[in-house]
Amino acid sequence: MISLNRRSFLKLSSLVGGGLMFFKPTAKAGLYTPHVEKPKGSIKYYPNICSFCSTACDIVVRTRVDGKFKKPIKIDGNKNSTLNRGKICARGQSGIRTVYNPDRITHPLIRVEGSKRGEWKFRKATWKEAYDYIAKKVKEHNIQPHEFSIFAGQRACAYERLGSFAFLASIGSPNMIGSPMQQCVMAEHAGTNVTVGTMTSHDEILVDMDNAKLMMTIGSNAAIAGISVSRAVRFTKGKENGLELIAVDPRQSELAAKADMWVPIKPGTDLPFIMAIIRGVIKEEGYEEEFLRRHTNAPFLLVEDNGMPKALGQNTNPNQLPFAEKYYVYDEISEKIVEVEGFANDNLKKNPKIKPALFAPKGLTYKGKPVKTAFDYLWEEVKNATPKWAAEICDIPEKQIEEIIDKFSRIRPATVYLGWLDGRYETTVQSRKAAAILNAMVGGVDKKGGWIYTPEMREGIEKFYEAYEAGKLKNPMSLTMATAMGPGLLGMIGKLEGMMYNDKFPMWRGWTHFSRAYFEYRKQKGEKGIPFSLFTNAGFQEAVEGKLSWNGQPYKMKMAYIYSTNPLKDYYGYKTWEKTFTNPNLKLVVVTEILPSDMAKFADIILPDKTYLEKASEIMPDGPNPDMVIRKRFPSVSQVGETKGGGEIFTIISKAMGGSYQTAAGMISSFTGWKFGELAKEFKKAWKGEKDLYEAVGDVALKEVGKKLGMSAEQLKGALEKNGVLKLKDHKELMEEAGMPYKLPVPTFSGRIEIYSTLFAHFNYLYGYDEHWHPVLKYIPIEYRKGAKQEFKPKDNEFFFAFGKTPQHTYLTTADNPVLMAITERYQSENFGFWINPKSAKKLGIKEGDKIEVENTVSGQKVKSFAHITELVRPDTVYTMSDFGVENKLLTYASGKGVDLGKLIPYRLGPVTASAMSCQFTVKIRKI
Amino acid sequence: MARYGMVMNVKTCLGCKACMAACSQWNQTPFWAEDGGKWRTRITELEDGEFPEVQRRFFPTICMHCENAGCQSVCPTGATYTNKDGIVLIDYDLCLGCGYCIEACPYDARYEYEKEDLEKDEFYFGEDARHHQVHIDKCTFCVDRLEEGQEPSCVATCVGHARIFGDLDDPNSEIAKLVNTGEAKPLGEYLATKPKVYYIK
Amino acid sequence: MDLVQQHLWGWFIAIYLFFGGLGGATMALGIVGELRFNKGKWFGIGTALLGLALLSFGLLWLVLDLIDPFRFLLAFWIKGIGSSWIARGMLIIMGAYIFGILYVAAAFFESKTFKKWMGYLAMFCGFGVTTYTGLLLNANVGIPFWHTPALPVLFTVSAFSTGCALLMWVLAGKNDHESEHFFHAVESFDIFLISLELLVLFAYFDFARGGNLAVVKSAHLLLSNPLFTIGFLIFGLIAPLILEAYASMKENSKGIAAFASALVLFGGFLLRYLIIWAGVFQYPHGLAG
Repeated sequence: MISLNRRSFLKLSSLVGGGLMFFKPTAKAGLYTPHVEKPKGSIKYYPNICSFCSTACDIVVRTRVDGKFKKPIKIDGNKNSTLNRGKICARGQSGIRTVYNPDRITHPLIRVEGSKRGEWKFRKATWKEAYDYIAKKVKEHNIQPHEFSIFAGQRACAYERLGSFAFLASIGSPNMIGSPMQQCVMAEHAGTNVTVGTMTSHDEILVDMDNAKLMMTIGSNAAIAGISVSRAVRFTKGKENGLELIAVDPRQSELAAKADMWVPIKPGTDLPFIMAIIRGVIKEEGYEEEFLRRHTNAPFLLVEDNGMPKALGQNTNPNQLPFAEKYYVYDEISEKIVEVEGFANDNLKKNPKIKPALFAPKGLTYKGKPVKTAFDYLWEEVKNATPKWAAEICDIPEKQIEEIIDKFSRIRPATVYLGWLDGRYETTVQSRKAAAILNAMVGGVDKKGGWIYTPEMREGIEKFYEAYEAGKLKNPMSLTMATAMGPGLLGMIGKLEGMMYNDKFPMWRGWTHFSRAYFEYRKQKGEKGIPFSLFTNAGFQEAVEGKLSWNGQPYKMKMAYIYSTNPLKDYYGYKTWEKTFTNPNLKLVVVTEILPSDMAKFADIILPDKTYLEKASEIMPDGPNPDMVIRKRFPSVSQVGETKGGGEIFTIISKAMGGSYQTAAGMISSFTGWKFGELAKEFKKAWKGEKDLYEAVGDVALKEVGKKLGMSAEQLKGALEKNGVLKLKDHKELMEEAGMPYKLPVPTFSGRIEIYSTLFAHFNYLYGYDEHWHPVLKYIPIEYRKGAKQEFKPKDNEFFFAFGKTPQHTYLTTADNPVLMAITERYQSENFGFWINPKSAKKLGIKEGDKIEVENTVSGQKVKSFAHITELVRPDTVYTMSDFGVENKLLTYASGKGVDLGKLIPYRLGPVTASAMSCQFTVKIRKI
Repeated sequence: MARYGMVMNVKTCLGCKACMAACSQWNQTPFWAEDGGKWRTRITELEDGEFPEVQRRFFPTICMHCENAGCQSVCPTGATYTNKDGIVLIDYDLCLGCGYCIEACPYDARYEYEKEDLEKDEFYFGEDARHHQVHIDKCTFCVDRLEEGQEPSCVATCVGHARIFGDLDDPNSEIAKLVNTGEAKPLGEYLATKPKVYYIK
Repeated sequence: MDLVQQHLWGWFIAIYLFFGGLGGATMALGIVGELRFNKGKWFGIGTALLGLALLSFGLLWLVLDLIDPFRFLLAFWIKGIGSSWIARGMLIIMGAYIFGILYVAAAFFESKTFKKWMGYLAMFCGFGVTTYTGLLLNANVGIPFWHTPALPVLFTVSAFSTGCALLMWVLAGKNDHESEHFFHAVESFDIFLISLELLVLFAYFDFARGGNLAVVKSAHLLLSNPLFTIGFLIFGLIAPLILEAYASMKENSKGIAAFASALVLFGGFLLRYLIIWAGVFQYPHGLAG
């Protein structure tokens, strides 16, 4: 090998250029080679949990470690993970760019005296100053615990829930708003949840796509290809195994692009569409009869009560949770009405010799009143929903619906995937319920190729059922407590009615969650309350405005703590939120953020958060993974600026508000079953500022979980640090041992899959009758705008509106990431513009890239954008992405790009779950 | 000695662009460049047909590591070479930066790593920056990851199993099977470039 | 097929190709003038140096087009000579410089045989440079409009035509008989070259008509660009052809011929710029993005 130095190189080349070609090809010029020192330290890998969406993938962080200095270099999926199977998405890959984002807030910031919220006039402060500031304001305005509310955003809600609860318990406030709960979980899942009993953070219905042979997705692009890696990898495997996909979506999403059949349905017509399929499957007798007879409450006998069906045996006491002693079915063998157990997984549990009828004989009566089965009620509601009828409303070919019916009657395993982030209408709960019923009818629950329950759900229900069977829950108080600590729907309703909405709950000192007070406020105004508004923001604005009262006393809202969410945009109705946060009644607004979000502008004080790569955690379950797996975060970044993690900040605010670590320890102890003493000891350290809260919880968790697994805390920590995840049991084994509802009840109030919702029936007695929470199924024709009924066909420049998300972003939270924004800008027309079908665009004389104004015909809101002409959307619909439109100029990469949906969608709470009716309107498009 | 290649399955690519992010983070490609960055790998979005008979497709592209590489033959200094494993690489020390190879590549796989890019690389990655001199840049099949026994960054994270990497000479590898059965075909065969990246369309 | 107009190369490369070709042709023609038409020692030295100066000026733009012009020394590292036209071009250019200067030295010291040999070698290299500018573009597989044998021919012809034009300018100022004679020789040669250029151009476009989509698109781009049709075809080609033909038939028409020469030079530059501009990549479908 010949290596040339600069001098000989020059000499040679100046002699004759051609001579050089005779050198060996390995020769190096070396003339311009820069001298670069290799960065110090060595490479190590730390496991962590991705924090960009609710999938919470298992990751490993390649880290350069030099003594105490740690710098993350690259993130990859954890190959040991059965959740994301070693893969991660664009967001996960770009995480380090958030850690070192030049826009990051690195110091506490206090709003300059005399400035207004929204102006962005802040001064740098120390943590001591920040603490003093909060403590002073709390004292000055005598802020009581119930006058405080936390907006527990994405991070607080999805990954740091335990910390959030501990924090709230420590100060004794009932007011938690979960990352816009009604937008993100409730609206979409309430209908499903009341049917199968699930309900945690995100859809939690783990569809076994690996093994399903037929799957219909309804607008759920975000949940699979939009992208949720844990689900997308299963979908990918499923496709390899021959899965047939029917994608129902007004635009051809990433998922619909992979479909065997794309059903570009008219927005807002999911309910009639699913009803037609249910009708067809019943007509073809394509349902799983045995499953429906035994494990669902389809055979329950129902009686008409005030225009609503009520199960015989339904607990109608509004002040009790809707557990019942017994229900009734018609036994086809004895041809008699017989009792079945009130809470059980199987209608044959008490008496294996019966055959519960799905259809009651004509003219059947009970105590002189005509009775019908829940399934009868279902059939009656759908019997006129012919494919022709639905095809007309949904504006799709009748043949397509017939084909789908045929497939669902024939192909097994078949499943329906509801996912998340589709348009919400007042009917969303009923249409989701219909889809869940369809899924139950084809038997796709906790079976190969069906909906699978999480391991936590199994563990929880096992514990609950044991206590229930042993008669330990006879006392209403202990039943309420056990329910509140229970899994899924039971746990949520237990918390809602037993704690948050219950002013007798000692921690609240006679107060309740503000949305309960809001309920009364609406009642006084003659409006229907919103029964299922747990952890929602329903009533927050009114509380700030001083409109609410409880037990005759004004219910004021004086302080808000906003942790990693952006109400101005995520909760819709930008202007109403702007008004709320600038209201002088609100004495103190604390914001914890990583980046200077639009919300941060409205803060009095901003406390800089750490990113997930800098945080520790407790031992966490493996997110939406059907396998039983535990995992933990191991930080891989040295301190960035003066930031503190969410856990540390919780304790600082709690202390400033006079919070008690003991109540916090009590709450967590009752949630987890861990020793109070251990927790209190560790929490004391956290509240003293000696230890990060999550590290404290983590250390207790290591001991407690280790004990259960027969390992020392050190051993467990070592194993987790090495592998990132620890698989305790495979889901196949779990399904075998604890199949729900085959061996265990599901977390509904009857323990069965509920065609008839005992909870919705309960709402009827608690809050009054309303068809939106009809216990079986109710077709509710929607009105897009005044004069535009369900059958409406837009003309001229009027369109239906649909929105979704792009796979490389999680709404607004990732918009300011330089890598993700670069990818987005590469495809900017589809990401920042309004999708318009070329046929419609031609009529309006609109071309690709033309500037347009979009007006909401219901609220009158207007936004300016541009046109993206594409065949991928219905001609009567416009579509846009929901991930953009932030304004704060300090967000270098995201500011001023794309559409702000908060400025197009009004703040308008829907029935049942307080979700914004985010697409129930039309828009008019004008070229500008 | 291996003959590395890749199969791109357009049928299963979900269009999530994780590959682009993954590549940019490992190889420090200029995501900061104007109008959506410069990438070693990209996804092109295709739309065929008319509503409702329209098909959206995501088309992953990358350096094809041609056996008869046009870029290599036009390179005046021999900076572009093929290594023992059949990977077409660039010796940055030798790269004149004439851009001749960019013009010669029929697959649009190359771009310029300019002075501003070096500055930004340092801005984002600090002392861990990997680019220290201007050069023409392109996919390397993450040759440095291969040395560590890891798959290329894009392949390791491909959610849709749309990127299959391996040794074309190993008849038992997934990729060789796909190629040998003819299921996967190279792009633009008429160019006679003999690419080692194959497509299932 | 995805057709994408190339935008990496532009003015800089056009200037380089133009001056490279012009310099090479000027030197070659000048040496011919001195060796064959006995234009004298200083004419030979002058045109050779002028040619090299123009070439150097052109090279400056090539260097400026590099990502980092200061890395130009690597251009001497011509390991890619086996297949790369830039490397080969470097060799030819080196040759042009070496033999050109040796020729100038020989001419200056009036070493007759040596001068003759060096003159022929320099001429050969000068000729090489003109052809190479076309071969440089020709080697791009991805751009079919360039990847045709007609292109180097076109560039060579055009380069000599511009070389003639420049020589006519130089000669226009001289009134001696030799110059007169040579002027007319060059003039008629240029008329021949321009006619040939028109023919080659016709063949080039005719070839394009039957070519693939990218070629058709390139041709279409050019034909719908007034800079090409009016600027190059009319003012850069047809007008000087008519003017020169007219001048060749008239006495004392050097002024007209010199004006025609200016048009030829202008046209020569436009041609290079427009051909580069009209380069269209033909990517397999799915690649453009």
